[in-house]
Amino acid sequence: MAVEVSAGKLKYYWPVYLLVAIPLVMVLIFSYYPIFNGFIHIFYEWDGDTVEEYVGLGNVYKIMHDTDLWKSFGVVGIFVLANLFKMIIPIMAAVVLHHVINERANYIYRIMFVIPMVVPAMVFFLMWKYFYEPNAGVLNEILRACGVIKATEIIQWLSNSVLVIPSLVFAGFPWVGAFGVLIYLAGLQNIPEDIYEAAEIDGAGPVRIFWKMELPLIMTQVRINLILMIIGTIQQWQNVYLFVGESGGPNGIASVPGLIVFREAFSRGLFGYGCAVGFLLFLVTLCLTFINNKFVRTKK
Amino acid sequence: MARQGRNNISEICKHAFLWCIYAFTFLPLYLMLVISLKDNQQFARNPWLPEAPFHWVNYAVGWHHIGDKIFNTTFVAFTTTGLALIIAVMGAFFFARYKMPGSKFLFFLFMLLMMYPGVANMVPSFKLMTSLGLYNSHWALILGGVAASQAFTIYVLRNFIEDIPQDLFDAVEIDGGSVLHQIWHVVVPMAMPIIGTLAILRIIAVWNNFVGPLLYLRDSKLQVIAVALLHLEGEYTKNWGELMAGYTIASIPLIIMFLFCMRLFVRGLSAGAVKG
Repeated sequence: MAVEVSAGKLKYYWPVYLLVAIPLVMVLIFSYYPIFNGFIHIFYEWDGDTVEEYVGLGNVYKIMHDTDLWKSFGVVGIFVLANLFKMIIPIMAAVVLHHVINERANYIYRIMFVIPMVVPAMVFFLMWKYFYEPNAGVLNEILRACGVIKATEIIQWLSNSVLVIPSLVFAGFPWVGAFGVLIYLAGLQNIPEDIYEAAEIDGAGPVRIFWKMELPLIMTQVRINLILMIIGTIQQWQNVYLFVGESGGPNGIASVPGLIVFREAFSRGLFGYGCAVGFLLFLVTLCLTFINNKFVRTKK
Repeated sequence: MARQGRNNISEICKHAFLWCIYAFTFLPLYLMLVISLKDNQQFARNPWLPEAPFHWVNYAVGWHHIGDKIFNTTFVAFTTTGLALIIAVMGAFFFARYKMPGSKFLFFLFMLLMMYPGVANMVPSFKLMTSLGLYNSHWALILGGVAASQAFTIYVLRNFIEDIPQDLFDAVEIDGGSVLHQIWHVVVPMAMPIIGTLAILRIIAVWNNFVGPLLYLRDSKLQVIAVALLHLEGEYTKNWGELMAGYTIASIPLIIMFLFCMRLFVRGLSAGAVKG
Protein backbone atom coordinates (compact mmCIF):
# COMPACT_ATOMS: atom_id res chain seq x y z
CA MET A 1 0.00 0.00 0.00
CA ALA A 2 1.27 3.35 -0.91
CA VAL A 3 1.38 6.13 1.65
CA GLU A 4 -1.21 8.74 0.75
CA VAL A 5 0.01 12.25 1.37
CA SER A 6 -2.44 15.11 1.11
CA ALA A 7 -1.37 18.66 0.34
CA GLY A 8 -1.75 19.58 4.03
CA LYS A 9 0.84 17.04 5.17
CA LEU A 10 3.42 18.23 2.68
CA LYS A 11 5.14 20.20 5.43
CA TYR A 12 6.44 16.92 6.86
CA TYR A 13 6.61 14.87 3.72
CA TRP A 14 8.27 17.19 1.23
CA PRO A 15 11.69 15.51 1.48
CA VAL A 16 10.14 12.47 -0.18
CA TYR A 17 10.24 14.41 -3.43
CA LEU A 18 14.02 14.31 -3.23
CA LEU A 19 13.83 10.61 -4.14
CA VAL A 20 12.48 11.40 -7.57
CA ALA A 21 14.44 14.61 -7.95
CA ILE A 22 17.58 13.17 -9.54
CA PRO A 23 15.85 11.08 -12.23
CA LEU A 24 13.52 13.98 -12.87
CA VAL A 25 16.34 16.50 -13.30
CA MET A 26 18.15 14.04 -15.55
CA VAL A 27 15.20 13.60 -17.92
CA LEU A 28 14.34 17.29 -17.84
CA ILE A 29 17.85 18.23 -18.95
CA PHE A 30 18.73 15.38 -21.27
CA SER A 31 15.33 14.41 -22.66
CA TYR A 32 12.78 17.19 -22.27
CA TYR A 33 15.05 20.11 -23.03
CA PRO A 34 16.12 18.58 -26.38
CA ILE A 35 12.53 17.61 -27.14
CA PHE A 36 11.43 21.17 -26.49
CA ASN A 37 14.32 22.56 -28.49
CA GLY A 38 13.53 20.17 -31.35
CA PHE A 39 9.88 21.16 -31.32
CA ILE A 40 10.79 24.85 -31.64
CA HIS A 41 13.06 24.06 -34.57
CA ILE A 42 10.24 22.46 -36.54
CA PHE A 43 9.51 26.03 -37.58
CA TYR A 44 13.06 26.83 -38.58
CA GLU A 45 15.57 25.98 -41.19
CA TRP A 46 18.47 25.01 -38.99
CA ASP A 47 22.01 23.84 -39.68
CA GLY A 48 22.23 22.13 -36.29
CA ASP A 49 24.36 24.92 -34.95
CA THR A 50 23.91 28.67 -34.99
CA VAL A 51 22.40 29.42 -38.38
CA GLU A 52 18.64 29.35 -38.19
CA GLU A 53 15.91 30.97 -40.19
CA TYR A 54 12.23 31.10 -39.29
CA VAL A 55 10.21 29.38 -42.00
CA GLY A 56 6.84 29.07 -40.26
CA LEU A 57 5.04 25.96 -41.41
CA GLY A 58 7.49 25.44 -44.27
CA ASN A 59 8.74 22.13 -42.91
CA VAL A 60 5.18 20.91 -42.41
CA TYR A 61 4.34 21.68 -46.04
CA LYS A 62 7.50 19.92 -47.03
CA ILE A 63 6.46 16.83 -45.08
CA MET A 64 3.08 16.80 -46.81
CA HIS A 65 4.73 16.85 -50.23
CA ASP A 66 7.60 14.50 -49.45
CA THR A 67 6.58 11.32 -51.27
CA ASP A 68 9.72 9.53 -50.11
CA LEU A 69 8.68 10.11 -46.53
CA TRP A 70 5.18 8.72 -47.06
CA LYS A 71 6.65 5.72 -48.83
CA SER A 72 8.90 5.21 -45.84
CA PHE A 73 5.85 5.00 -43.58
CA GLY A 74 4.59 2.30 -45.93
CA VAL A 75 7.88 0.44 -45.49
CA VAL A 76 7.68 0.68 -41.72
CA GLY A 77 4.09 -0.55 -41.98
CA ILE A 78 5.37 -3.65 -43.76
CA PHE A 79 7.94 -4.16 -41.02
CA VAL A 80 5.32 -3.85 -38.27
CA LEU A 81 3.06 -6.38 -40.02
CA ALA A 82 5.98 -8.73 -40.55
CA ASN A 83 7.01 -8.41 -36.93
CA LEU A 84 3.47 -9.26 -35.90
CA PHE A 85 3.86 -12.62 -37.64
CA LYS A 86 7.33 -12.98 -36.23
CA MET A 87 5.78 -13.08 -32.75
CA ILE A 88 4.27 -16.48 -33.51
CA ILE A 89 7.47 -18.54 -33.29
CA PRO A 90 8.55 -17.13 -29.90
CA ILE A 91 5.07 -17.77 -28.48
CA MET A 92 5.14 -21.31 -29.82
CA ALA A 93 8.63 -21.81 -28.43
CA ALA A 94 7.51 -20.63 -25.00
CA VAL A 95 4.45 -22.90 -25.01
CA VAL A 96 6.47 -25.92 -26.08
CA LEU A 97 9.15 -25.13 -23.51
CA HIS A 98 6.45 -24.85 -20.87
CA HIS A 99 5.33 -28.37 -21.70
CA VAL A 100 8.80 -29.83 -21.30
CA ILE A 101 8.16 -31.49 -17.97
CA ASN A 102 11.60 -32.66 -16.99
CA GLU A 103 12.74 -29.79 -14.79
CA ARG A 104 16.39 -30.17 -15.57
CA ALA A 105 15.80 -30.18 -19.30
CA ASN A 106 13.48 -27.23 -18.90
CA TYR A 107 16.14 -25.20 -17.11
CA ILE A 108 18.84 -26.06 -19.63
CA TYR A 109 16.53 -25.12 -22.50
CA ARG A 110 15.83 -21.76 -20.89
CA ILE A 111 19.55 -21.12 -20.53
CA MET A 112 20.02 -22.05 -24.16
CA PHE A 113 17.67 -19.29 -25.21
CA VAL A 114 19.83 -16.82 -23.31
CA ILE A 115 23.26 -17.90 -24.56
CA PRO A 116 23.00 -16.42 -28.09
CA MET A 117 22.46 -13.03 -26.42
CA VAL A 118 26.21 -12.92 -25.72
CA VAL A 119 26.72 -12.16 -29.39
CA PRO A 120 26.68 -8.35 -29.56
CA ALA A 121 23.93 -7.02 -31.81
CA MET A 122 26.51 -5.46 -34.10
CA VAL A 123 28.05 -8.88 -34.63
CA PHE A 124 24.60 -10.37 -35.14
CA PHE A 125 23.80 -7.81 -37.85
CA LEU A 126 27.15 -8.18 -39.53
CA MET A 127 26.77 -11.97 -39.50
CA TRP A 128 23.46 -11.60 -41.28
CA LYS A 129 25.01 -9.19 -43.70
CA TYR A 130 27.61 -11.84 -44.42
CA PHE A 131 24.76 -14.34 -44.78
CA TYR A 132 23.40 -12.22 -47.64
CA GLU A 133 26.79 -11.38 -49.12
CA PRO A 134 26.49 -12.00 -52.90
CA ASN A 135 29.83 -13.74 -53.59
CA ALA A 136 30.90 -15.73 -50.56
CA GLY A 137 27.73 -15.32 -48.45
CA VAL A 138 26.04 -18.26 -46.77
CA LEU A 139 22.68 -17.96 -48.49
CA ASN A 140 24.02 -18.01 -52.06
CA GLU A 141 26.39 -20.83 -51.10
CA ILE A 142 23.46 -22.88 -49.83
CA LEU A 143 21.43 -22.18 -52.97
CA ARG A 144 24.39 -23.16 -55.14
CA ALA A 145 24.98 -26.34 -53.15
CA CYS A 146 21.32 -27.30 -53.52
CA GLY A 147 21.39 -26.56 -57.22
CA VAL A 148 18.70 -23.88 -56.99
CA ILE A 149 20.95 -21.39 -58.71
CA LYS A 150 23.88 -22.00 -61.04
CA ALA A 151 27.40 -22.08 -59.64
CA THR A 152 28.25 -18.82 -61.35
CA GLU A 153 25.00 -17.08 -60.56
CA ILE A 154 25.00 -14.28 -58.01
CA ILE A 155 21.90 -13.01 -56.28
CA GLN A 156 22.23 -9.49 -54.88
CA TRP A 157 19.98 -9.93 -51.86
CA LEU A 158 20.52 -6.45 -50.48
CA SER A 159 20.95 -4.42 -53.66
CA ASN A 160 18.03 -5.73 -55.66
CA SER A 161 15.02 -3.46 -55.30
CA VAL A 162 12.58 -6.39 -55.20
CA LEU A 163 14.56 -8.51 -52.76
CA VAL A 164 15.87 -5.96 -50.30
CA ILE A 165 12.75 -5.58 -48.12
CA PRO A 166 12.02 -9.34 -47.93
CA SER A 167 15.69 -9.88 -47.07
CA LEU A 168 15.49 -7.33 -44.26
CA VAL A 169 12.31 -8.97 -42.98
CA PHE A 170 13.80 -12.43 -43.04
CA ALA A 171 17.02 -11.40 -41.28
CA GLY A 172 17.22 -12.75 -37.77
CA PHE A 173 15.22 -15.91 -38.46
CA PRO A 174 13.73 -17.55 -36.35
CA TRP A 175 13.33 -14.22 -34.54
CA VAL A 176 13.39 -15.81 -31.13
CA GLY A 177 14.89 -13.76 -28.35
CA ALA A 178 15.40 -14.71 -24.73
CA PHE A 179 13.54 -11.62 -23.57
CA GLY A 180 10.29 -12.45 -25.35
CA VAL A 181 10.35 -16.18 -24.70
CA LEU A 182 11.07 -15.88 -20.98
CA ILE A 183 8.35 -13.27 -20.54
CA TYR A 184 5.76 -15.49 -22.22
CA LEU A 185 7.04 -18.37 -20.13
CA ALA A 186 6.53 -16.34 -16.96
CA GLY A 187 2.91 -15.86 -18.00
CA LEU A 188 2.45 -19.54 -18.72
CA GLN A 189 3.92 -20.51 -15.38
CA ASN A 190 1.27 -18.42 -13.63
CA ILE A 191 -1.49 -20.62 -15.02
CA PRO A 192 -2.72 -22.76 -12.12
CA GLU A 193 -2.34 -26.55 -12.40
CA ASP A 194 -6.03 -27.24 -11.76
CA ILE A 195 -7.05 -25.43 -14.94
CA TYR A 196 -4.88 -27.86 -16.86
CA GLU A 197 -6.44 -30.75 -14.97
CA ALA A 198 -9.93 -29.51 -15.79
CA ALA A 199 -8.96 -29.23 -19.46
CA GLU A 200 -7.55 -32.77 -19.44
CA ILE A 201 -10.74 -34.13 -17.91
CA ASP A 202 -12.74 -32.36 -20.63
CA GLY A 203 -10.56 -34.20 -23.10
CA ALA A 204 -9.16 -31.03 -24.70
CA GLY A 205 -6.21 -31.64 -27.01
CA PRO A 206 -3.05 -29.55 -27.02
CA VAL A 207 -4.25 -27.31 -29.86
CA ARG A 208 -7.54 -26.58 -28.13
CA ILE A 209 -5.77 -25.98 -24.83
CA PHE A 210 -3.51 -23.48 -26.55
CA TRP A 211 -6.25 -21.47 -28.26
CA LYS A 212 -8.90 -21.59 -25.55
CA MET A 213 -6.75 -21.43 -22.47
CA GLU A 214 -3.06 -20.68 -22.75
CA LEU A 215 -3.20 -17.87 -25.30
CA PRO A 216 -5.99 -15.93 -23.52
CA LEU A 217 -4.17 -16.34 -20.21
CA ILE A 218 -0.89 -14.95 -21.50
CA MET A 219 -2.51 -12.04 -23.33
CA THR A 220 -0.99 -9.66 -20.73
CA GLN A 221 2.49 -10.71 -21.80
CA VAL A 222 1.58 -10.78 -25.47
CA ARG A 223 0.29 -7.24 -25.18
CA ILE A 224 3.43 -6.01 -23.47
CA ASN A 225 5.60 -7.52 -26.15
CA LEU A 226 3.25 -6.18 -28.81
CA ILE A 227 3.52 -2.62 -27.51
CA LEU A 228 7.28 -2.85 -27.16
CA MET A 229 7.49 -4.35 -30.64
CA ILE A 230 5.37 -1.64 -32.25
CA ILE A 231 7.23 1.22 -30.56
CA GLY A 232 10.54 -0.43 -31.34
CA THR A 233 9.77 -1.14 -34.98
CA ILE A 234 8.43 2.31 -35.79
CA GLN A 235 11.49 3.93 -34.30
CA GLN A 236 14.02 1.46 -35.60
CA TRP A 237 16.29 2.44 -38.45
CA GLN A 238 19.66 1.12 -37.28
CA ASN A 239 19.08 -2.28 -38.87
CA VAL A 240 18.35 -0.73 -42.26
CA TYR A 241 21.38 1.52 -41.85
CA LEU A 242 23.62 -1.44 -41.06
CA PHE A 243 22.34 -3.62 -43.89
CA VAL A 244 22.05 -1.20 -46.78
CA GLY A 245 23.66 1.98 -45.50
CA GLU A 246 22.44 5.53 -45.21
CA SER A 247 20.89 5.58 -48.70
CA GLY A 248 18.28 2.98 -47.72
CA GLY A 249 19.08 0.48 -50.44
CA PRO A 250 18.53 0.73 -54.21
CA ASN A 251 16.69 4.00 -54.90
CA GLY A 252 16.19 4.31 -51.14
CA ILE A 253 13.42 1.75 -51.38
CA ALA A 254 13.98 0.39 -47.87
CA SER A 255 14.19 3.81 -46.19
CA VAL A 256 12.27 3.99 -42.93
CA PRO A 257 11.25 7.30 -41.31
CA GLY A 258 14.02 7.11 -38.70
CA LEU A 259 16.61 6.72 -41.42
CA ILE A 260 15.17 9.75 -43.20
CA VAL A 261 15.53 11.82 -40.02
CA PHE A 262 19.13 10.73 -39.74
CA ARG A 263 19.86 11.36 -43.41
CA GLU A 264 18.16 14.75 -43.66
CA ALA A 265 19.77 16.02 -40.49
CA PHE A 266 23.26 14.62 -40.43
CA SER A 267 24.05 14.22 -44.13
CA ARG A 268 22.11 17.01 -45.76
CA GLY A 269 22.25 19.41 -42.81
CA LEU A 270 18.48 19.98 -42.77
CA PHE A 271 18.16 19.76 -39.00
CA GLY A 272 14.86 21.65 -38.84
CA TYR A 273 13.26 19.23 -41.26
CA GLY A 274 14.78 16.31 -39.33
CA CYS A 275 13.15 17.61 -36.15
CA ALA A 276 9.79 17.93 -37.92
CA VAL A 277 9.87 14.36 -39.24
CA GLY A 278 10.98 13.14 -35.82
CA PHE A 279 8.02 14.84 -34.18
CA LEU A 280 5.67 13.28 -36.72
CA LEU A 281 7.16 9.91 -35.80
CA PHE A 282 6.42 10.63 -32.15
CA LEU A 283 2.78 11.43 -32.93
CA VAL A 284 2.42 8.21 -34.93
CA THR A 285 3.91 6.18 -32.08
CA LEU A 286 1.58 7.83 -29.61
CA CYS A 287 -1.49 7.08 -31.76
CA LEU A 288 -0.55 3.44 -32.29
CA THR A 289 0.16 2.87 -28.60
CA PHE A 290 -3.19 4.44 -27.80
CA ILE A 291 -5.00 2.23 -30.33
CA ASN A 292 -3.17 -0.79 -29.01
CA ASN A 293 -4.17 0.01 -25.43
CA LYS A 294 -7.76 0.49 -26.45
CA PHE A 295 -8.32 -2.54 -28.64
CA VAL A 296 -5.99 -5.24 -27.42
CA ARG A 297 -7.69 -5.94 -24.11
CA THR A 298 -6.49 -8.39 -21.55
CA LYS A 299 -8.80 -10.69 -19.67
CA LYS A 300 -8.18 -10.48 -15.97
CA MET B 1 3.64 -32.33 -11.87
CA ALA B 2 0.12 -33.07 -12.91
CA ARG B 3 0.69 -32.48 -16.59
CA GLN B 4 1.92 -35.63 -18.21
CA GLY B 5 3.35 -36.09 -21.63
CA ARG B 6 0.66 -37.75 -23.68
CA ASN B 7 3.08 -40.20 -25.14
CA ASN B 8 6.63 -40.53 -26.31
CA ILE B 9 5.98 -39.20 -29.81
CA SER B 10 4.61 -35.88 -28.62
CA GLU B 11 7.51 -35.69 -26.19
CA ILE B 12 10.00 -36.19 -29.02
CA CYS B 13 8.22 -33.59 -31.16
CA LYS B 14 8.57 -30.98 -28.44
CA HIS B 15 12.29 -31.54 -28.10
CA ALA B 16 12.76 -31.66 -31.87
CA PHE B 17 10.95 -28.35 -32.29
CA LEU B 18 13.15 -26.65 -29.70
CA TRP B 19 16.32 -28.09 -31.18
CA CYS B 20 15.34 -26.78 -34.60
CA ILE B 21 15.09 -23.29 -33.13
CA TYR B 22 18.41 -23.67 -31.33
CA ALA B 23 20.05 -24.81 -34.57
CA PHE B 24 19.22 -21.44 -36.07
CA THR B 25 19.85 -19.26 -33.02
CA PHE B 26 23.24 -20.83 -32.41
CA LEU B 27 24.29 -20.71 -36.06
CA PRO B 28 25.77 -17.17 -35.96
CA LEU B 29 27.69 -18.00 -32.79
CA TYR B 30 28.97 -21.25 -34.31
CA LEU B 31 30.00 -19.75 -37.64
CA MET B 32 31.67 -16.83 -35.90
CA LEU B 33 33.87 -19.19 -33.89
CA VAL B 34 34.62 -21.57 -36.76
CA ILE B 35 35.47 -18.93 -39.34
CA SER B 36 37.56 -16.95 -36.86
CA LEU B 37 40.25 -19.65 -37.14
CA LYS B 38 40.36 -19.87 -40.93
CA ASP B 39 42.32 -17.99 -43.54
CA ASN B 40 40.62 -16.85 -46.72
CA GLN B 41 41.46 -19.98 -48.73
CA GLN B 42 40.07 -22.31 -46.08
CA PHE B 43 37.05 -20.06 -45.83
CA ALA B 44 36.41 -20.21 -49.56
CA ARG B 45 36.80 -23.98 -49.63
CA ASN B 46 34.73 -24.83 -46.61
CA PRO B 47 33.20 -22.17 -44.35
CA TRP B 48 31.11 -24.65 -42.36
CA LEU B 49 33.42 -26.97 -40.44
CA PRO B 50 36.52 -26.38 -38.34
CA GLU B 51 39.64 -27.41 -40.17
CA ALA B 52 43.34 -27.58 -39.30
CA PRO B 53 45.62 -25.66 -39.43
CA PHE B 54 44.01 -23.16 -37.09
CA HIS B 55 45.03 -19.58 -37.67
CA TRP B 56 45.28 -18.20 -34.16
CA VAL B 57 47.04 -15.19 -35.59
CA ASN B 58 43.60 -13.90 -36.65
CA TYR B 59 42.97 -13.17 -33.00
CA ALA B 60 46.13 -11.13 -32.72
CA VAL B 61 44.99 -9.00 -35.67
CA GLY B 62 41.46 -8.74 -34.28
CA TRP B 63 42.85 -7.67 -30.92
CA HIS B 64 44.97 -5.05 -32.60
CA HIS B 65 41.84 -3.48 -34.08
CA ILE B 66 39.46 -3.55 -31.14
CA GLY B 67 41.44 -4.51 -28.03
CA ASP B 68 41.75 -1.01 -26.63
CA LYS B 69 38.08 -0.29 -27.42
CA ILE B 70 36.98 -2.94 -24.93
CA PHE B 71 38.03 -0.80 -22.00
CA ASN B 72 36.11 2.22 -23.34
CA THR B 73 32.97 0.20 -23.95
CA THR B 74 33.13 -1.48 -20.56
CA PHE B 75 33.60 1.85 -18.81
CA VAL B 76 30.64 3.45 -20.59
CA ALA B 77 28.38 0.40 -20.21
CA PHE B 78 28.98 -0.16 -16.50
CA THR B 79 28.95 3.50 -15.48
CA THR B 80 25.72 4.13 -17.39
CA THR B 81 24.05 1.05 -15.95
CA GLY B 82 25.19 1.69 -12.37
CA LEU B 83 24.09 5.30 -12.29
CA ALA B 84 20.85 4.59 -14.15
CA LEU B 85 19.79 1.86 -11.72
CA ILE B 86 20.74 3.73 -8.55
CA ILE B 87 18.62 6.73 -9.40
CA ALA B 88 15.83 4.67 -10.98
CA VAL B 89 15.43 2.55 -7.83
CA MET B 90 14.89 5.73 -5.82
CA GLY B 91 12.50 7.12 -8.41
CA ALA B 92 10.56 3.85 -8.62
CA PHE B 93 10.40 3.70 -4.81
CA PHE B 94 8.87 7.16 -4.80
CA PHE B 95 6.15 6.17 -7.27
CA ALA B 96 5.48 2.77 -5.70
CA ARG B 97 5.30 3.83 -2.06
CA TYR B 98 3.95 7.37 -2.01
CA LYS B 99 0.95 9.08 -3.47
CA MET B 100 2.10 12.66 -3.30
CA PRO B 101 0.40 15.65 -4.88
CA GLY B 102 1.71 15.64 -8.44
CA SER B 103 2.81 11.99 -8.40
CA LYS B 104 0.56 11.10 -11.31
CA PHE B 105 1.76 13.97 -13.42
CA LEU B 106 5.40 13.17 -12.74
CA PHE B 107 4.83 9.52 -13.64
CA PHE B 108 3.15 10.60 -16.86
CA LEU B 109 6.21 12.73 -17.66
CA PHE B 110 8.38 9.63 -17.46
CA MET B 111 6.00 7.37 -19.38
CA LEU B 112 5.64 9.83 -22.24
CA LEU B 113 9.35 9.46 -22.88
CA MET B 114 8.88 5.78 -23.74
CA MET B 115 6.90 6.94 -26.78
CA TYR B 116 9.48 9.47 -27.90
CA PRO B 117 11.67 8.22 -30.72
CA GLY B 118 15.34 8.48 -29.90
CA VAL B 119 16.08 9.43 -33.47
CA ALA B 120 13.85 12.50 -33.21
CA ASN B 121 15.91 13.67 -30.28
CA MET B 122 19.28 13.00 -31.83
CA VAL B 123 19.80 16.42 -33.35
CA PRO B 124 18.85 18.59 -30.35
CA SER B 125 20.67 16.20 -28.00
CA PHE B 126 23.78 16.55 -30.09
CA LYS B 127 23.46 20.32 -29.88
CA LEU B 128 22.95 20.15 -26.11
CA MET B 129 25.95 17.93 -25.52
CA THR B 130 28.15 20.17 -27.64
CA SER B 131 27.08 23.27 -25.76
CA LEU B 132 27.73 21.49 -22.45
CA GLY B 133 31.26 20.84 -23.69
CA LEU B 134 30.70 17.08 -23.68
CA TYR B 135 31.46 16.52 -27.35
CA ASN B 136 34.15 13.88 -27.72
CA SER B 137 33.66 12.72 -24.14
CA HIS B 138 32.34 9.46 -22.75
CA TRP B 139 30.14 11.47 -20.41
CA ALA B 140 27.91 12.55 -23.28
CA LEU B 141 27.07 8.87 -23.80
CA ILE B 142 26.77 8.12 -20.09
CA LEU B 143 24.53 11.03 -19.10
CA GLY B 144 22.37 10.66 -22.20
CA GLY B 145 22.11 6.93 -21.63
CA VAL B 146 21.14 7.33 -17.98
CA ALA B 147 18.37 9.78 -18.85
CA ALA B 148 17.10 7.68 -21.75
CA SER B 149 16.83 4.55 -19.62
CA GLN B 150 14.81 6.07 -16.78
CA ALA B 151 11.33 5.64 -18.24
CA PHE B 152 11.45 1.89 -18.86
CA THR B 153 13.49 1.11 -15.75
CA ILE B 154 11.23 3.07 -13.43
CA TYR B 155 8.14 1.53 -15.03
CA VAL B 156 9.33 -2.03 -14.45
CA LEU B 157 10.76 -1.42 -10.98
CA ARG B 158 7.67 0.39 -9.79
CA ASN B 159 5.48 -2.64 -10.57
CA PHE B 160 7.88 -4.80 -8.67
CA ILE B 161 8.26 -2.60 -5.59
CA GLU B 162 4.47 -2.24 -5.29
CA ASP B 163 4.25 -6.00 -4.73
CA ILE B 164 6.69 -6.07 -1.81
CA PRO B 165 4.69 -6.78 1.38
CA GLN B 166 4.03 -3.78 3.61
CA ASP B 167 5.23 -5.64 6.74
CA LEU B 168 8.82 -5.53 5.57
CA PHE B 169 8.76 -1.76 5.26
CA ASP B 170 6.98 -1.43 8.64
CA ALA B 171 9.67 -3.52 10.29
CA VAL B 172 12.39 -1.18 9.09
CA GLU B 173 10.37 1.85 10.05
CA ILE B 174 9.79 0.59 13.62
CA ASP B 175 13.52 0.13 13.97
CA GLY B 176 13.80 3.81 13.14
CA GLY B 177 15.16 3.25 9.66
CA SER B 178 14.99 6.07 7.17
CA VAL B 179 13.68 5.85 3.64
CA LEU B 180 17.17 5.06 2.38
CA HIS B 181 17.33 2.19 4.90
CA GLN B 182 14.08 0.86 3.49
CA ILE B 183 15.49 0.97 0.00
CA TRP B 184 18.79 -0.63 0.96
CA HIS B 185 17.49 -3.32 3.33
CA VAL B 186 14.14 -4.18 1.75
CA VAL B 187 13.85 -3.07 -1.87
CA VAL B 188 17.33 -3.99 -3.04
CA PRO B 189 17.37 -7.55 -1.63
CA MET B 190 13.75 -8.27 -2.62
CA ALA B 191 14.10 -6.87 -6.11
CA MET B 192 17.57 -8.21 -6.82
CA PRO B 193 16.58 -10.57 -9.67
CA ILE B 194 14.74 -7.81 -11.48
CA ILE B 195 17.46 -5.24 -10.82
CA GLY B 196 19.98 -7.72 -12.18
CA THR B 197 17.84 -8.37 -15.25
CA LEU B 198 17.41 -4.68 -15.94
CA ALA B 199 21.15 -4.18 -15.47
CA ILE B 200 21.95 -6.87 -18.02
CA LEU B 201 19.45 -5.49 -20.52
CA ARG B 202 20.93 -2.02 -20.06
CA ILE B 203 24.53 -3.18 -20.43
CA ILE B 204 23.62 -5.00 -23.62
CA ALA B 205 21.79 -1.95 -24.94
CA VAL B 206 24.84 0.26 -24.32
CA TRP B 207 27.11 -2.40 -25.77
CA ASN B 208 25.04 -2.44 -28.96
CA ASN B 209 24.60 1.31 -29.34
CA PHE B 210 26.61 2.56 -32.26
CA VAL B 211 24.74 5.72 -33.18
CA GLY B 212 25.60 7.68 -30.04
CA PRO B 213 29.34 6.91 -30.18
CA LEU B 214 29.35 7.61 -33.92
CA LEU B 215 27.96 11.08 -33.28
CA TYR B 216 29.64 12.08 -30.05
CA LEU B 217 33.12 10.59 -30.20
CA ARG B 218 35.70 11.95 -32.59
CA ASP B 219 38.98 10.50 -31.31
CA SER B 220 39.46 6.90 -32.30
CA LYS B 221 41.23 6.44 -28.96
CA LEU B 222 37.90 7.00 -27.19
CA GLN B 223 35.82 4.95 -29.61
CA VAL B 224 33.73 1.94 -28.53
CA ILE B 225 33.54 -1.60 -29.87
CA ALA B 226 30.37 -1.26 -31.92
CA VAL B 227 31.78 1.56 -34.03
CA ALA B 228 35.16 -0.14 -34.32
CA LEU B 229 33.45 -3.25 -35.68
CA LEU B 230 31.50 -1.15 -38.13
CA HIS B 231 34.72 0.43 -39.44
CA LEU B 232 36.42 -2.95 -39.49
CA GLU B 233 33.62 -4.37 -41.62
CA GLY B 234 33.55 -1.35 -43.90
CA GLU B 235 37.15 -0.71 -44.81
CA TYR B 236 38.42 -4.24 -45.08
CA THR B 237 39.56 -6.01 -48.15
CA LYS B 238 37.64 -8.82 -46.59
CA ASN B 239 39.75 -11.16 -44.55
CA TRP B 240 36.89 -13.11 -43.06
CA GLY B 241 38.91 -14.92 -40.43
CA GLU B 242 40.30 -11.73 -38.93
CA LEU B 243 36.88 -10.11 -39.08
CA MET B 244 35.24 -12.98 -37.19
CA ALA B 245 38.07 -13.09 -34.69
CA GLY B 246 37.38 -9.42 -34.02
CA TYR B 247 33.69 -10.20 -33.54
CA THR B 248 34.56 -12.98 -31.12
CA ILE B 249 36.81 -10.73 -29.07
CA ALA B 250 34.02 -8.16 -28.95
CA SER B 251 31.73 -10.82 -27.46
CA ILE B 252 34.09 -11.92 -24.69
CA PRO B 253 33.12 -9.34 -22.04
CA LEU B 254 29.44 -10.20 -22.55
CA ILE B 255 30.27 -13.90 -22.29
CA ILE B 256 32.02 -13.31 -18.98
CA MET B 257 29.13 -11.25 -17.70
CA PHE B 258 26.62 -13.93 -18.65
CA LEU B 259 28.65 -16.64 -16.99
CA PHE B 260 28.14 -14.84 -13.69
CA CYS B 261 24.65 -13.48 -14.18
CA MET B 262 22.88 -16.16 -16.21
CA ARG B 263 20.92 -17.56 -13.26
CA LEU B 264 19.92 -14.11 -12.06
CA PHE B 265 18.77 -13.18 -15.54
CA VAL B 266 16.71 -16.30 -16.13
CA ARG B 267 15.20 -16.01 -12.65
CA GLY B 268 14.42 -12.30 -13.10
CA LEU B 269 12.65 -12.70 -16.42
CA SER B 270 10.92 -15.91 -15.36
CA ALA B 271 9.61 -14.23 -12.23
CA GLY B 272 7.56 -11.94 -14.41
CA ALA B 273 9.93 -9.05 -14.88
CA VAL B 274 7.44 -7.20 -16.99
CA LYS B 275 3.84 -7.11 -15.91
CA GLY B 276 0.70 -5.66 -17.41
